[in-house]
Amino acid sequence: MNGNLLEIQDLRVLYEVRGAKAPAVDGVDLSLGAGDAVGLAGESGCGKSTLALACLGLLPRNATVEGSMKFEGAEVVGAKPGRLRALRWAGISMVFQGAMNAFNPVKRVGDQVVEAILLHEDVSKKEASGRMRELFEHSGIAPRRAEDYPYEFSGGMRQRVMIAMALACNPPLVIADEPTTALDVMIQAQILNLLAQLREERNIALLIITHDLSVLAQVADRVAVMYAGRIVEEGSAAELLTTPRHPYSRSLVGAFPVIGDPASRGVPTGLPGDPPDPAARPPGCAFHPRCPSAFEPCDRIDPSLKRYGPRLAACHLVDREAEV
Amino acid sequence: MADESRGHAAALEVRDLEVRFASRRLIGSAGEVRAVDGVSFDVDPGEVFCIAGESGCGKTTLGRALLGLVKPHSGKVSISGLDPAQLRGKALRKFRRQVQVVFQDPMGSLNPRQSVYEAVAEGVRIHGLPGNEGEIVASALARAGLRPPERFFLDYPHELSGGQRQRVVIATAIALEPRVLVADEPVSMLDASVRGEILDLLVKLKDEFGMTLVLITHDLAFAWALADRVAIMYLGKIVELGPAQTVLTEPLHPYTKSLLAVSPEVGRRRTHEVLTGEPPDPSDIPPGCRFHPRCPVLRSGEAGTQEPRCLGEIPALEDPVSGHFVACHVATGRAQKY
Repeated sequence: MNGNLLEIQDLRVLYEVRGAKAPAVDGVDLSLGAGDAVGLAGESGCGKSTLALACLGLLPRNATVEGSMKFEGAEVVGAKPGRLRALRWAGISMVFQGAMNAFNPVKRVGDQVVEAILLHEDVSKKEASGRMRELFEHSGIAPRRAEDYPYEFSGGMRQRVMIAMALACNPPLVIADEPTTALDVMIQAQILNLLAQLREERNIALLIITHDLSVLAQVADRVAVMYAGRIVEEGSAAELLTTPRHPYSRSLVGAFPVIGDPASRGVPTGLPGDPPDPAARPPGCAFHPRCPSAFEPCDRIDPSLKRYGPRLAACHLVDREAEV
Repeated sequence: MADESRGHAAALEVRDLEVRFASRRLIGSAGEVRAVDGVSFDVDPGEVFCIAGESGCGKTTLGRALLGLVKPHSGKVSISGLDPAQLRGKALRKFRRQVQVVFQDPMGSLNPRQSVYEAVAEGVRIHGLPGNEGEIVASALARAGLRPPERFFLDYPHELSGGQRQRVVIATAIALEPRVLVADEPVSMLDASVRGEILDLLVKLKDEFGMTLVLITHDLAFAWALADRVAIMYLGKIVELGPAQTVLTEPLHPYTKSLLAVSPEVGRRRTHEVLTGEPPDPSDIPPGCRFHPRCPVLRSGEAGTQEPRCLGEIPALEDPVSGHFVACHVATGRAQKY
């Protein structure tokens, strides 16, 4: 494809809290081509969900967005509400965590999907209903269940309905924010398989946001790790998740024990401390107060995101290792 | 049953435990749900025993029965010779001190209007622990990794991070010096780095303080990191039980194998053989081996001559390999052949 589906450049999202502006997203570059599957990983508060909401123009009022975000070549930052409304569902749709809260509890799920289609496309109710049934079938839900209410679905089935709804207007990009976090292992595997299958069948690009790196190992081709509003490491999923280079990525990967690996039995893996307050970013590398391998320049000089072969990293240690 | 022959005195004994609930059906006759259906095991002092399985397998109900929070239909639980189902009033309170629990959601376990000190001191007061209350609270917080403890005394839950909150919950439990700590999905709602942090703490409690832990989780990687022995539950029954190393690396039961196949792992894209369908319904338990409708071994025809037994006979929990128990006609049949 010529040009990227989503092109984010130097994006900053600032929240105004008590008169001061704190950057939740602090200069992020990210691009996705058609049919790509990119994972965005990091702890709560690293800015990953804010980034997703910015893509959809769903940020709260106290947020200001700077930089550029182009979807299919058109600028999204500063776009008029009408244009953003048209973009949601038809251009970019979102699968949220905890699908129960994303549905109207007193309307049949089928009607809710039909409503989304009718809102965005000039089709008859009959056509919309037909497409809804087709989507249900694709997502592994018996079409007769369209008559049911959200509470009648189990967590996994509800997440399937959520996915069917996200696909209602055939968007080229689906953002999934913690799509499987509250689900059981077997159901989680089913949902991840479904996402992978739909991506293949419909050439949908996926942006998966999660703190659970094991999920990204299953569905993402590329992974970007975020810390304190910035991308600190980016690379192919297969490489980054097996040989993380940034100490932060290493500790995230280390939090997931590997069955069968004696090294992950009973061994401390935790990363002490908390992510920094966006309003009080530490000097130098934002990660240095928690970093097990911090050395001299880390508390003074903020490392920039540099390319090391196919990998991108913002870390003095990676830099030093690369020189050797 | 399962491991009566383990010799030394157990910290926790469960024998033929059955827990039933009345099922609420709109149509048809009122049925019964057998959430826990004949479960036996022992946990040694200082051991980390993990109960794993899908939602609806009965693992949480089993945990609640250990705590005396649900009344079993039959069978018994015994901790220091006490069975919670037989106890009332003061005796039950005394029992509760011996078994403490940590739930999944720390925000749901803490009173938002209670300071950290009050949260930990409440249990100490209820159980009338001897000694200086302030010292007991401080030592529990310190053991849970909140140091210096005094700094946290006046904090409220909303002022703490997710990991700190879960540490407070753990401190409230260990302040009472329980014989057994039951942790029901203690990390599944926590962030990746916090997950590692709580995992470390549990390892420390086991290694440094010899805590006996019953860990309830759907996350087999978590079990691998922490457990000495693992019991895999399916529809209210233990289908496999043994040392974590062997159960998780050389599983015998087809259900354990499929659970392992779907356990997502960092750095490895697994070829999924995902069991289809929803987790099975405990109000409608299939005859014979309860796993047979989903069993990949049966479907592929590998069960061979055992097939009629799979469909009609409930497999007993046996140990073809010493100490490694499995309830599967095919697995035990195969082991006996060689």
